[in-house]
Amino acid sequence: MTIIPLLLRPSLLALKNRYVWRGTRSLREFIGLFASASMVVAMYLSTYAALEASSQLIESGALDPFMPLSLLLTSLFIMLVLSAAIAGLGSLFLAKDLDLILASPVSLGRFLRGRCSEVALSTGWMVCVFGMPSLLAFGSFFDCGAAFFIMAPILSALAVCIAVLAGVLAALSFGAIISPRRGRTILLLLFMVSLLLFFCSLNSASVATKLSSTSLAPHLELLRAASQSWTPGRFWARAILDIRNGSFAAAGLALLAACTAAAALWAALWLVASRAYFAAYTRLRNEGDLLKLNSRASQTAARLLLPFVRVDRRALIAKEFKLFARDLSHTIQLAMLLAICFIYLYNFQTLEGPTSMAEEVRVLWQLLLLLVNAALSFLVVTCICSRFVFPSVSMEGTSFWILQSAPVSMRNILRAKVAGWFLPVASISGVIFMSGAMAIGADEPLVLASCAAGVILAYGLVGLGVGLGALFAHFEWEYASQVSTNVGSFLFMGLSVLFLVVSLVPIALSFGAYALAPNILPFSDSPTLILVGGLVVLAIINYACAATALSVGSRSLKAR
Amino acid sequence: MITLDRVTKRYGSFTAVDSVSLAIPAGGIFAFLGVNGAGKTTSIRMMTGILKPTSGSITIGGFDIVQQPLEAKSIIGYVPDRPNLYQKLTGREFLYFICDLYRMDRKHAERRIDETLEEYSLQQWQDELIESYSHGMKQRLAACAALVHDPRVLIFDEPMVGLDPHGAKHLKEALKRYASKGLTVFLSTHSLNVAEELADFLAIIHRGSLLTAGTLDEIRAKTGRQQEEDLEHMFLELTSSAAEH
Repeated sequence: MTIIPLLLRPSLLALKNRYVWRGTRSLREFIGLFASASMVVAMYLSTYAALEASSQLIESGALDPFMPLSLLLTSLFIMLVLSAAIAGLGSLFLAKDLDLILASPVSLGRFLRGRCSEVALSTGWMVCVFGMPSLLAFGSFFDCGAAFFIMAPILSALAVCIAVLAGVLAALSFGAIISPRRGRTILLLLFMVSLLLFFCSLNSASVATKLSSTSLAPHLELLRAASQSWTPGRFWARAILDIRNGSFAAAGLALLAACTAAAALWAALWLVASRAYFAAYTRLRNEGDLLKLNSRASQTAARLLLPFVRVDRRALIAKEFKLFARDLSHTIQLAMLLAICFIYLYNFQTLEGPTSMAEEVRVLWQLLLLLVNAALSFLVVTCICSRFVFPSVSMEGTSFWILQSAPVSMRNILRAKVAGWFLPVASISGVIFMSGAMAIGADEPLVLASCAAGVILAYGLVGLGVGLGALFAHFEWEYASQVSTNVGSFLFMGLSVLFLVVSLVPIALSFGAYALAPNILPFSDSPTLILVGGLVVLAIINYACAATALSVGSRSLKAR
Repeated sequence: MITLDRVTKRYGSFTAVDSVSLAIPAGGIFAFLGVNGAGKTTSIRMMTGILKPTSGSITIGGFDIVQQPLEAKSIIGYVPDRPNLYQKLTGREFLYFICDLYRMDRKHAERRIDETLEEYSLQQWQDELIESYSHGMKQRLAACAALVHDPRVLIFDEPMVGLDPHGAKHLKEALKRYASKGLTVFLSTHSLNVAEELADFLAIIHRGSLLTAGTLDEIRAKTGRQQEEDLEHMFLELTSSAAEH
């Protein structure tokens, strides 16, 4: 087992060196660490508060505590598998140290153990930050005994192990069948087809349930139905609940099943690797990219698509787009995040505005749903930004000297990044905000205002992402997906939530005043002005947020 | 053309460059010599605006690199010791990118890209991704990028590293040609025969401090050496005696 600490040593030493005090340069690392710790505490407190708020539903039997736990752990497990697959692709096929390691006298088994441990280290933080605080809150709320607090982490570690092995196996199989260089188009095609099939199956199963819904019960039923099928996350939740209920035999069985699953996955991984890994790796190194590129045509296209943009800014935007489009790991992450958007929209649709309520209640319910939609859509867009916008400065990597030595100011470089990312993020954000509002049957001005709010919030979020990305820039990465999992990324997520809270104030006030204006406000004859006013305030907040973040980021880059 | 006035760079308690002063006239080739870790690359990174000096000032073509960075950078062409370029761009796309950063006129840019690609024998690779280039090809492409915007000052950090004998010979001839056209060529190297063969002016830096500077004959005279003594002997003696102190 010495290979695990040996191959992990560079990552662990890099981590340790990061937190060696080096004056003010280390300060931001410690601030980020503190922010991450705060997020763990916040996760614990919010889970506990959510359980307390639902205590009546739980006591009355309307809400089985297994259901939210199962949903949480299933989501976490899926995220773990997908992240492990991405990290696995990078670690097995694209990492810079592969030539060095493969040239060393390291057996395949030891190599796989080392790589899997590395993937587990880079993805396991999700369980530490999101899973463990929630499980601890769950245990505290239900007064579970010591066995729960011992067994839950063990089961969680096993779940991470299974997820990592499944992800790495998927990455390896993918690399063995389709070269990571060639697989981009095929992968996207497969993804779109599977998404389509997924939607078709969901629609046929649940469309009857969600129509004419007047209470929360059918929605809960729908969620329960969605978690009926066997998934490792559900299994994980069941085992934890068995411990809580004192059914140690069942929990022991679950533990045994988890160990068996991990062993089976390891055997499958070893088998596939022994037959296909070196052939796949060699093929990857030997072949050129299938993309046929015409440099002149791409330059002309950039000129035509961005005709009124300053030439240096256009160059930076076009470069950003080309690097993004040609990087396989980005494609996979984009596919994952678009899937999250689709699933979010589908789920939100099930909360369609009830029609048989009293008018006053219906308006309030719709307003609440609109605000929930704004908050949740914002979080979905934050996920996208944390994966793509936040790392965009670090993605310059060791090529950053090109920009540093060019006659372009850091401020302009960051502004170009904002300009480049704003359009795609605003498009996604606008569509999600608007679709959510339409799904709950909001008035036309509210739908349009939601869309505008989505676009405005996208600006603030992109500015915040680029600015913080510059402040926490880390140019010495091994492969692209490493960048979005550093401490600065946590801080970005935390500050985004704070930014959301501030931004929700003008949205809530203007949307609320608009919905209630006909009854209580003096300027009820032109209620859309209220919405416009709210959006203007929102725009000012967002501009200020982006400008501050960009200023801090550019100063930090200049001082490097 | 290039002036360094008591330039110092400190990293915490470590002084990488210690009060270095240099005045390099326009035109000609200047070689900056030193052993590994002497402070050559740090000095160059300060000259190109990548690092900010702790104290002192640097002017390039009359522009202060800290006060007027954009003006100074627009007349510099820089080739680093490690050619880390955008792997997912083609060679030609990378040169387009550089031309646009320097806001070059479109037609002029096209002509200069063709000229530099031809000069460094990269035309047939221009539409391939840079990730498929060899180290030497990346080095040549970085040279193309440094030259494409017609700089007045050309800064090469260890230019011969990674080049095959043909590439090295071609580059040496090219550097002489640029200098004869009036460009100021600043190159750092620890390859003494390259410096001896190419340089009109020399400076030797050791442990961050400048030991000596001038033409080869001036350095001989300053250090009391024989006229026929070669650079290698002088360099080894100077750096050894500096190490003893």
